[in-house]
Amino acid sequence: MKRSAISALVNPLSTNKTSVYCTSCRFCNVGCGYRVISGAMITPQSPDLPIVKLENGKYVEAVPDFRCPVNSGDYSVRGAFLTETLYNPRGPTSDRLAYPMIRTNGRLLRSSWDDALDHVANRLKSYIQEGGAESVGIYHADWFGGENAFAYMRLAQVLGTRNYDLNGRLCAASGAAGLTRSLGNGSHPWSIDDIDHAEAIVLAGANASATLSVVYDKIYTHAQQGAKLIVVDVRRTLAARNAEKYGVFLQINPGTDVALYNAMAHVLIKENLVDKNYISAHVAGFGDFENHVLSNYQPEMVQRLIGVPADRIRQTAMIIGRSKPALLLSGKGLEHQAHGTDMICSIINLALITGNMGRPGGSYSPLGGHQGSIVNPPLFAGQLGHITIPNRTIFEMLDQIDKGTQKALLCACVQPMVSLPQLNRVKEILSKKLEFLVVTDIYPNETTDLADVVFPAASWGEACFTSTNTDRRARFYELFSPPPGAARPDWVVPTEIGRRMGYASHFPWNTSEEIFDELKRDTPFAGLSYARMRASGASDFQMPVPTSASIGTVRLYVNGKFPTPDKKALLWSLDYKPQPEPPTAEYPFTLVTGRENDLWQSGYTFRRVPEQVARSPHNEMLVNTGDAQRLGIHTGKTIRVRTRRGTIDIIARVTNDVPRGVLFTLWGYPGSPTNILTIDARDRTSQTPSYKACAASVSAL
Amino acid sequence: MHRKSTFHLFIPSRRAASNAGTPSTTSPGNRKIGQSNHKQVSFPTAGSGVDLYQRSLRHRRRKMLWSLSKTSGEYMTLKRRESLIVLGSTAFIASLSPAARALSFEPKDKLKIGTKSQIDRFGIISFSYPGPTHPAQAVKLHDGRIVAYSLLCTHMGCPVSYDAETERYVCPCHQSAYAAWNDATVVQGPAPRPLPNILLEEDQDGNIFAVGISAPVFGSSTTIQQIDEIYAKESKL
Ligand code: SF4
Ligand code: FES
Repeated sequence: MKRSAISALVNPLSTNKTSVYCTSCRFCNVGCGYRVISGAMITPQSPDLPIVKLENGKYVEAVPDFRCPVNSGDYSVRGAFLTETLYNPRGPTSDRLAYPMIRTNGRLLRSSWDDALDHVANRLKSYIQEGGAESVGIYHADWFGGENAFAYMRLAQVLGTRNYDLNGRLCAASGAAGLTRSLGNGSHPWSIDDIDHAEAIVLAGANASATLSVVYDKIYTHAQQGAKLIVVDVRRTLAARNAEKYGVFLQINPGTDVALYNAMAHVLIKENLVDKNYISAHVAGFGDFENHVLSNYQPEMVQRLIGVPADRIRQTAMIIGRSKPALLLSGKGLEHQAHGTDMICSIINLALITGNMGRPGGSYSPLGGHQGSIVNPPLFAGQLGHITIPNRTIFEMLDQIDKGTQKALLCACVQPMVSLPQLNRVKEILSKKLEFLVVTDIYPNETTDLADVVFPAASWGEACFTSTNTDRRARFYELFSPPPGAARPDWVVPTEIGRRMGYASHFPWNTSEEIFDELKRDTPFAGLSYARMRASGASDFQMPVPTSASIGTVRLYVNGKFPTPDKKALLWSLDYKPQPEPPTAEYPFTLVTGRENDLWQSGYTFRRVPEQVARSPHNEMLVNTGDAQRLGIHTGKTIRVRTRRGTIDIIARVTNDVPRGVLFTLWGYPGSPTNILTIDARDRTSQTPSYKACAASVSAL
Repeated sequence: MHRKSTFHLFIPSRRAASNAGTPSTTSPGNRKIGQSNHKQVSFPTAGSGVDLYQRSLRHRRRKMLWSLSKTSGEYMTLKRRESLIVLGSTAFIASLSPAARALSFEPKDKLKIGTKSQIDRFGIISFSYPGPTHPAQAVKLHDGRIVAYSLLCTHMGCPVSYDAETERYVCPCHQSAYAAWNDATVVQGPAPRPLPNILLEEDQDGNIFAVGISAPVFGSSTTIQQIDEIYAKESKL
C-alpha cells in the first residue's frame, strides 16, 4: 500500500507517471538500499549518477536511499553505475543473452524455451537411466536470489543426486565453518551499527574499502571520530594507510594469522585483559586454550614467523583488550586459505576471551563477499546451508567428471571457467570430459562457450527476488525493467526441467513470491513476506524473523547463549600450519590474489561500464621495489609469472605496498585469468580453495 | 496539497535557470589557460524537455573522453605506446584516438577570480562558481599549468581539499581522490565522476576569469536529500 502511494508521484513535465521502487544493490554484501525512479520522463535526482533509457522507452535512475539504515544515502563506485548494467539494446549491455540456445554442429543456435527445456529434460533422463542420479550435477550461485536457489535445490532433491554445490564454496564457506565450529551456528553475528558503538575496530585480512565500500566508509568516519582502527593485512591497502594514522597496521607474512591471534591471546591472558566472568559463564575450553597459547605463543617466539615485532603485537593486543567494546571483522584474507577455518576460529577466540561477543559495538563477524541466498543463510546449515548439506563439492564433481562417472552439469549464475583454481585443469575437464553442460546466465562468457544448452536469465531489476547481506538483513529486489528478449528468471529453468521429468507436484509455484512462501516455512524467517519487505522499503529485517509480528534480530548472542549442546561457545587450541605450497628456490615468491574497488567478481558488469574499465584499464601484478630492482622489472613492463600450474603475462606495478617476496594481483580481472596460477589446495573443513597463497616465480620479459 | 508542493520541488529550477541565462562569450583577444583542448557546448537538460537519452549519450561520450585522459594520465610511467596497447584490449575506448581528448565546457557567467600574480604567489585561488554557493578553486601545478575545479565531491557533495604534494584533491568524507594534473579524474574512492572542470581565461592585464564549466556541480539539480523528504511525505499520505 505504501509503495503505491509513493509511486503516485507525477512529474510536472509529463502526464506519465513516475514510479519509485525500493530495491537493493546487486553487488557486494553490504546490500545498499536504492530507490529506482522510472518513467517516460523523469527529472534527474542526482547530477552524477547515470540515467538510462530502457527498451520500453522509460528512463531509469537509481538513487542511493537516504532512509535505508544500511547505507543512509551512501554508495560506492560499483553501485553508482547500477542502471548502466541494465539491458540496453543501444549500449554496451546489448550483448545480453536473450534466447535459449542449443549447440548444433558445434554452434549455439537460437531455439525456443520449450525445445531447449525438452532437450535438457530428455538428456538428463537418459543419463539418469544409464548411470543413476549421480551422473548429473548442479552448481549454482548462492547470491542470485533465494527463490532461484531454492528451485535448484528442489531439483537436486527430486533427482536424488548428491552432486550439488553452491559458489559460496569459493567464498563464505570457511567463515561459516569457523563460526559453526566455535559458536554452533554459521550466521554472521554482527550488525552494521556495531561500528558506531565500537572503540576499536579490527579489520583482519579485509580490504574493506574495495570490497564492502559503504561499511568501510562508516568505519573510516568512526575512526576519524576517535575509534582505534587496527588493520592486519599482507598488503598496504587504503585501510592500512588509515590504520597507520588512526591506530595500528600490522603487515604480516602471508598465512600467519593463527600464530598472530594466538600470540595476541597470550598477551591478553598475561596482562589480565580477559573477561573472566564472561568466560566462566559462556565459554568452554579456556583451560586448554590458556595452556596452549601461554606455552607456545609468546610473541617473541613467533615474531619472526609473523613478520611483526613482538612489541607491536603486544601493543595491538592491549588496544583490543582495553577497548570496550572492540569489533573484530575479517575478510577473505582469512577465508581464501588452505587453513581458513582455523584462522576464523583463532580470531573468534579473541572475541570470546575479551567478552566482546554479542555486545553492542563488540562482536566478531566475517564480512563476506557477495550477498547470500535467503534459503541458506548459514543460520540453518544443518538443513540447507553451505556446510552440512550432505553434498559433494564442485571439486569432487570435477574429479567425478574426470573419472567419467558424472556426465552432466547444470550451472547457473556461476563462472567456473574464471573462478575455480587451477583453471587449465578445469577447462580440460569441462571441455573434454563433460558430456552435457547446461548454463543459465546473463552474458555470453567463458563458460557459455563450452555449453551445450544456454538459457538466458532475467537479472537485477528484471525479476523479484530476495537475499541477505553481511548483517543478516533481508534484501528485496524489485522488478522494474523488462528482461531482454525471452529471458526469464532463473527459477524457471529447474522448475520446468523438474516438471518435464515427471516431478510436477514438487514444483507447484508460478511466481517467485510463491516460492518464497514455500521456502520460508519452518525457517527462522517465517515472519517475512514480500508484502512486509515492500512496505518497509526493503531494509528493515535482520534474521531471524520468526513471526509476522517480529521485527527481526539486531545482533546474535546478546545473552551469551550459543546454539551448542551446553549453550557455551568453544575455544579452539590451534596451531599455525604452513602454507600448502611454501616458496622454493625455483618459485621464490608468494602469490596473493585480491579485489579492486570497481571490479566486481569476474567482471561481467565491469566490462560494460566504461568509467570502471577506465579506472582499472588492465590487470597489474604488484611487485615489491627491492625485488623489482633485483629482477630488472619496471612499472608498465610486461612480466611473466609462473607457478607449477601455469603461466601468464601481465603488466607489473612496482610498489612498496607489498612486502618483499610477495606478489599481488586481482583475482578475476576479465581477460587476465589469474586462476590459471592458483593452487587447488583446500581447507579440510570448508573445502574453500587457497586463492590467497601459492608459490610463484616472476621474470622480466 | 502535498502533491502541489511536490510539483514545485520537482522543477530543477536552478539548473533550468542557469541554462536560460545568456551564455557569456569569450572576447577574442583573451587566452584560455589550463585545460589544453576544449570546446564550448551547452548541455541540454531534462527539465527543458530534451530527450534524456541524448543527455546520457552525451554524458557517456564525455565520460569516455575523461576515461581516456585518465587512463593515459594515471599510468604516466607507461610509455605512450605501451599504454595504447593496453587500451587496445578494451573495446570501448580503443576506437578513440588520444587526439580526441577534449572536455566540453558549458559557458557560464564570466567571473573574475583573481590575477596571474596572485596565483603565482600563493599557488591557489578560492572562489565560488558557477553560483555563489558553489566553492571552486584554481591551483598552479608543479609544471606551471593553472587548472580550476569545482570543490564539491561528486560522491556526496563534501568539499574536497588540495594536497599540493601529490597534486590531488582529496575528499575528507570517504576519501575519494582526484588527480588535479589530469582533469580531476578519480583515482581512489567511491566518487563516480571527475570534479567538474572550470574553464579559465586570462586577459592582457593578467586578470583570470572563470568562464565555463564541464559538468553540473553537485547539488545543482534537486538533491537526493530533497527528493527523499518528498518520498517521506508522500508515504505518510
Ligand atoms: S557498497 Fe556494495 S551494496 Fe553498496 S553500493 Fe557499493 S557495491 Fe552496492
Ligand atoms: S563525499 Fe567525497 S568521497 Fe564521499
